[in-house]
Amino acid sequence: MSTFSGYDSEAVGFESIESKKKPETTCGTQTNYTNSGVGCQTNSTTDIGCTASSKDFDRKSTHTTPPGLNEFLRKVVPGMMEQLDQKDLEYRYNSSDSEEEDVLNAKLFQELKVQDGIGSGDHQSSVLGVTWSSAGNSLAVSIGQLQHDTWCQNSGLIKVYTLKRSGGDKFAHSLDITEKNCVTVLKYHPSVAALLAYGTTSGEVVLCNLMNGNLEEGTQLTSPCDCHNSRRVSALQWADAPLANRYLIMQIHNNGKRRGAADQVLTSSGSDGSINVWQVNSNLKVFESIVKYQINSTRKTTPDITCFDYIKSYPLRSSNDRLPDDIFVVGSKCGRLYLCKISSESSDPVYEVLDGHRTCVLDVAFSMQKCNIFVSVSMDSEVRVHDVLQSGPIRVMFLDHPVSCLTWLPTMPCVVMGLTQEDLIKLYNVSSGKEVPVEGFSGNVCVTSVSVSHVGSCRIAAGDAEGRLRIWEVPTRRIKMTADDLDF
Amino acid sequence: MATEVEETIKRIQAHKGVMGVVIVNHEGIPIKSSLDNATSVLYSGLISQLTEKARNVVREMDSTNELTFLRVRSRRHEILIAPDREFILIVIQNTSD
Repeated sequence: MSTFSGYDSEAVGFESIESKKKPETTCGTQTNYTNSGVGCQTNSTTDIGCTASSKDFDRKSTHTTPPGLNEFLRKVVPGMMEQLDQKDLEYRYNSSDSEEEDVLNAKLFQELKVQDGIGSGDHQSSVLGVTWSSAGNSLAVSIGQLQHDTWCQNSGLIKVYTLKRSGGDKFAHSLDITEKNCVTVLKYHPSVAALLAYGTTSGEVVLCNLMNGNLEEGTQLTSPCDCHNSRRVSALQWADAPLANRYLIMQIHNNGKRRGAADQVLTSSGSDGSINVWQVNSNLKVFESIVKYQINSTRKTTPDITCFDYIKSYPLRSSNDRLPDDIFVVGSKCGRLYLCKISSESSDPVYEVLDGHRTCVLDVAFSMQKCNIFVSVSMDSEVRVHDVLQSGPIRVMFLDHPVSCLTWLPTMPCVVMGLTQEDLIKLYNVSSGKEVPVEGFSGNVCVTSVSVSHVGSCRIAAGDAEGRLRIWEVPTRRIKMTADDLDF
Repeated sequence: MATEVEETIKRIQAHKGVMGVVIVNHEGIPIKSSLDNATSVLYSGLISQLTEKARNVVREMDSTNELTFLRVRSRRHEILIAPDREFILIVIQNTSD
């Protein structure tokens, strides 16, 4: 209500504010619609089995012949029946399964007349040495005089023959290497095809690098003078990798020089009883002595060395067969055999002297199958099989034919022997002591040198006293070996 | 028609020493065989490859020539193969007979 003051003169209006509070409620509603579907699937399976026998098949109705099959059969069946009827007796005899003894047939691949009229007077030039290159596509042949009365006054000549595909796969003369004296021995490196080493009657050892197929300036290296006291070089051997490593380490210890990657080791023997081991490197022009042995010098009888060979190393040899791999054997003109040990000192390496043969030892070679076995052959046609662990020979064979030289077949315990008379070449199974029958080595001349190449097919090259070189192909893979053959 | 094929196979099979006959199509799949399935498939695959190789050899040596027959002789069996453009007839014969 209005309020009256005590002093009212006039009524005034005025605003009034009134607040009222009353609860209010708001509400809303929302309706959510959802649809849900219900699906269903009905699977029905039906198993049907049936068994049928061959009788139930009507082949006429189920088999359809591919078109052309009948014509095909009419065409080929007569020939097939003929082949089935073919007598195959001739195949049986040629079969590798034949139980009968096979006679191998050596096929004369090529015959070369290498003598070119060199030599003095009435002396005919003879083949003094033959060597195959590691690739089997090159032959080096040295020609000279077999006998020298005093000093050698003849020129030496090496003829190199290379396989020419264009010439019908025959060896053709490609290079001549001349020397002041006769070349008594020569050898290609077993793995570096271009390296050829040779020794002369004047005691020189020469290394040739035939990389480009010719002898360019600077590709020949010669040993230091008087390395064999001007006496004939009688044998050469290239060291295999383990042996080369042994000697090169020795050289490093000797002179402190680093070895080259292409360093090789060559061993030469001389009639003066010395054996020189050389470090050679044709690229770096290195020809240095590693060690020089004087055979049997402690016993004061120096032999005239005719041949030598190192024991073959076998990294995978079983522990039962462990043998020192630092052995080499030396053959002499007097027939004795000297067992030696590799040493870093230039002294006498001989540790045992075997009586050996009665006459000159022509060749000696360690077996590639049985590491401790080596074979020696002498001028009196005696072949001895030795074991380095025994003093006496384990087998002695007396041959009916006089032998002039020998070499091993690389893959089996057989030796190839050059003869001085008819039937130029003979093969012997050293383990059984029996001759391996081979036909085709016909001739009547003294074989002076023999070498085997086993690259691809087996080829035997033999030079003779009349200056001829013959090359045969021999199917050596047909030589039957038994387990006993590899066990001496 | 199929009888003629079967008869031919029987005739070859009846020959002395024949151990099996397989006819192979140009895809190397055996279409007729007297041997079990596994052996047939094995022979088909291998002989097809060998035949193709031999065919190529003959052709490479002389383009005017063609392979007509192939014999593979082993210690125990001999496989005679008569190839053609569409099919190969293989007969396995025992060598000891």
